Amino acid sequence: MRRNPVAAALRDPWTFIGLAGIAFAAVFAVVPLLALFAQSLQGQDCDCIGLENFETFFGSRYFRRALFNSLNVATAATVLSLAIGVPLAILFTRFRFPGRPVLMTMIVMCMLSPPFIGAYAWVILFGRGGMVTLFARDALGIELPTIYGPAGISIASAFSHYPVVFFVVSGALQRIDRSFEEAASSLGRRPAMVVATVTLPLALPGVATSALLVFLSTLADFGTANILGEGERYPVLATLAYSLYLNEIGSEPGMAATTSVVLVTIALGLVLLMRLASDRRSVVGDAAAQQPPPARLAGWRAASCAGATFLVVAAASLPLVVVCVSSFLDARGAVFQADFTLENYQKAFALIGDALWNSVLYATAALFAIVVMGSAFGYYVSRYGGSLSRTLDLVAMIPFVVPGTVLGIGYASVFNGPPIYITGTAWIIVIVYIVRRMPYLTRAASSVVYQIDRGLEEASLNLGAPPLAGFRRIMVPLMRPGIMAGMTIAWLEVFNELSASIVLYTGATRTLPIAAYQQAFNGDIGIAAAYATMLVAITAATLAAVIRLGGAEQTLAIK
Amino acid sequence: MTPHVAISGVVKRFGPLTVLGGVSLELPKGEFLTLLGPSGCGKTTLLRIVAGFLQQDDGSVTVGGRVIDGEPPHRRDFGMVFQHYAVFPHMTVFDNVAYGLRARGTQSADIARKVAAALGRVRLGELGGRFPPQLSGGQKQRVGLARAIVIEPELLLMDEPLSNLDAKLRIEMRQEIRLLQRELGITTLYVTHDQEEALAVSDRIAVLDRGRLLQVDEPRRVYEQPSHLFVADFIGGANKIAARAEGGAAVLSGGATLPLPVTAAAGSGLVATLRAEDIRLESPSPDAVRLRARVVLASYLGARLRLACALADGTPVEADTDVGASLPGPGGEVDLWFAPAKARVFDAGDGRRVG
Repeated sequence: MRRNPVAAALRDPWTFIGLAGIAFAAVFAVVPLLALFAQSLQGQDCDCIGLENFETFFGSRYFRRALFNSLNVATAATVLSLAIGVPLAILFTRFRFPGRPVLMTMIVMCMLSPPFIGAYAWVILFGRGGMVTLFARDALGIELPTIYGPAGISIASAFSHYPVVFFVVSGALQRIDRSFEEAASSLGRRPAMVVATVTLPLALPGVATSALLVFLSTLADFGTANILGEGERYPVLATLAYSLYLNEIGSEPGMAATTSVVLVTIALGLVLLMRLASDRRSVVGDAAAQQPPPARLAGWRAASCAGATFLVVAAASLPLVVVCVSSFLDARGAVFQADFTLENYQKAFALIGDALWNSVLYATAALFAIVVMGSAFGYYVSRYGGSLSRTLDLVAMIPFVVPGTVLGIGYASVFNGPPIYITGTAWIIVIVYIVRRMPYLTRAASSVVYQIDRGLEEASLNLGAPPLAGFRRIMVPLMRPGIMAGMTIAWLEVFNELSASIVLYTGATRTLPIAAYQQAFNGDIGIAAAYATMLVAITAATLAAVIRLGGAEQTLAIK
Repeated sequence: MTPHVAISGVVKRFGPLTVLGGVSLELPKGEFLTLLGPSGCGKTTLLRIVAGFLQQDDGSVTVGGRVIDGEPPHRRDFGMVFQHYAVFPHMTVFDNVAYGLRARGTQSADIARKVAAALGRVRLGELGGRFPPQLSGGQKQRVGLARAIVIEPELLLMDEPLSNLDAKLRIEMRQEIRLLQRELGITTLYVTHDQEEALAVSDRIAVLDRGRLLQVDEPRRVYEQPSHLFVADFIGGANKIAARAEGGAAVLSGGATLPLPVTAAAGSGLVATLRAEDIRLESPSPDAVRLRARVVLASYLGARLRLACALADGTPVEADTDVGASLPGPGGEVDLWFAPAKARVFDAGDGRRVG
């Protein structure tokens, strides 16, 4: 009697869950991208297919400049982030010195606050009417260069993205068997040379991964570039796609899609290159080597370590402090005065409308779906081999790479008519939240499942519990720490989401990050600071709750 | 009488690799049968096919007259004990053991009674409230055992249940498992790579090599009458001496002739096997065969002395001798004797027994 593998798969409920996942990702991640791709190939004056749009794009100085600007800023931000993050990671994994917990908290806050808030803080300090700018001009008679433009965008991006480098490289360093370093020093290397010749080369895959992440985040970051690039003045691809989309009815239809396709192509290309590179040079196995604890530093070494890290971390955290403080300052025109007031909050609440409520509602709804679907898909991806599971793994991860603005533009063009007509509704925002942030949960869940002995589930089946009952009673409780961690990140990322929702919102579906961004871009600086402070406060409160519940370690492990 | 478990012609391939090449096996009710073989022989694959965790490519499994091939594992009603215990870490010992009963909708009063009885049987009576991380490896495996027997399964499957325990505990546990199995009369399919364990616990042993079943027999027959060179070598270990078929007998490479009938064509290559404990330093019987050898090393093993020697052509031969025996030093010549009835002769090509 021959067995039919298809028939066996059809008896397994997980097959249908896997198929449902693929269908969901296909409709809400792949189709919008394909639609943009199709639009970019649409001829300008005829109904034909062609590369006209791309000729326009690469033929025009303006578009080429945006492309160059994007690459320029992303590269500079990546280099800066590495320069800050790698030394910090080495210090934190190898040495114990006073103030570590405080510094850690500051780094985490930097990572989890929306980047455009950091950008806005730099404007408050170094903008045209910025506190430092005015002080230098009026009191010292010095004309400081302003923060606007490529340097400002790079610095602001680096300060909000360096924590990614820090955490990824720390993780890589912790997995390196310390005996390699001991061998190097026993062979006569000085500590600095040990780091240079052994530690860093072994941590290289982690460094490269984190560099890629920073590069992609900067490339995709719409808010920072728009605030510090002042929109059209210093266009990058992300802001260009957005403004082209807003003016779509005008002269050049298809150029928003074309710009989006260029952006996505760069991102996907880099990810694929990275894959190839890491496949060719497989990394040393990360068997849990026995690691000696970090060395305790004292005296001047401890002081200089703590001092140096504190300076860097404080500089990066400064924006958050500045935003919070200035939200309580009297704002007159475009300048903050040195008088404390609650007026900004009064005005902010008067104008807030549904924004706060919308944010809470959409983020909660999205989070629910993310947790349920993400855990199930993560489980399926990590427990089942086969083409179905690999396909799900691939399509579910696509939104990780696609800039939010691009996804938003794709949604707006695909879901504005039958069969799925949700443009302008709350649904489209909730769904874009789900699609963009579910990868956090899928990743978190699958890495936890990977560590759970498969025998537990087999024992459950063997004892007579049907597959889904076993999943609920055995796997869900064991996956809970991982799910909780993924949930924390997903919640913060969803609550602070800007770059896709800015394309998709309407007056009725405005969210808090959108309100904050609008006020920061061209509105009342006091109200902007108040909204931004609310976002930071909610982020901090969430983190505090998670740390109290004891899930902080795992949460950081995911990001 | 129809067998309780009938495995017939089971084939399993992983890509181009055939892991099971048509295995057939029958277990009468209440039998303790061990699948024995080196790692990669397919024994665990076969067990997992019976459990329903893998689907065979061909062939069929019948248990209690019921063909179970299409059935998902949770409807098969077989208890299974896992190599890595698979004791649910987030449940107490009690809840672990109760898990299968709850899945069957057993009344809670019955659950309490049955779990208590099962825990008593594996001598964990007082530990019902503990969580698995607080248990030793041996205790965890007792929980695994209790959990498997409490559902009174039609068939008990054990996948190397003792291989994660230390040597002393292994021996203790295997006796307990054997006694429990006899007491409950559960038909049991047991997988191990440890030949001593297999000899100690089984009613019958099925020796597997590279997906083929070589011999299914009682422990004593498997040890004394191996049907295949691989079986002779894998179980108990044996000295292998090259030989040739001449005039219906085997002529050893050193020139000695085994006065044994051999069913092989004249001139064909043979291998004679001889267990270390069957070799003597003095002739045990008038028809004994003598091997001239040179001592390489003598290892003291407590109860006996293991003598590693080499024949003239370099063939290594190991012999067990009394600790008190007087021996030449390393390099010295020694005469090794054995009764021809103790030797087994196999075809050098396909490993078949020929004498």
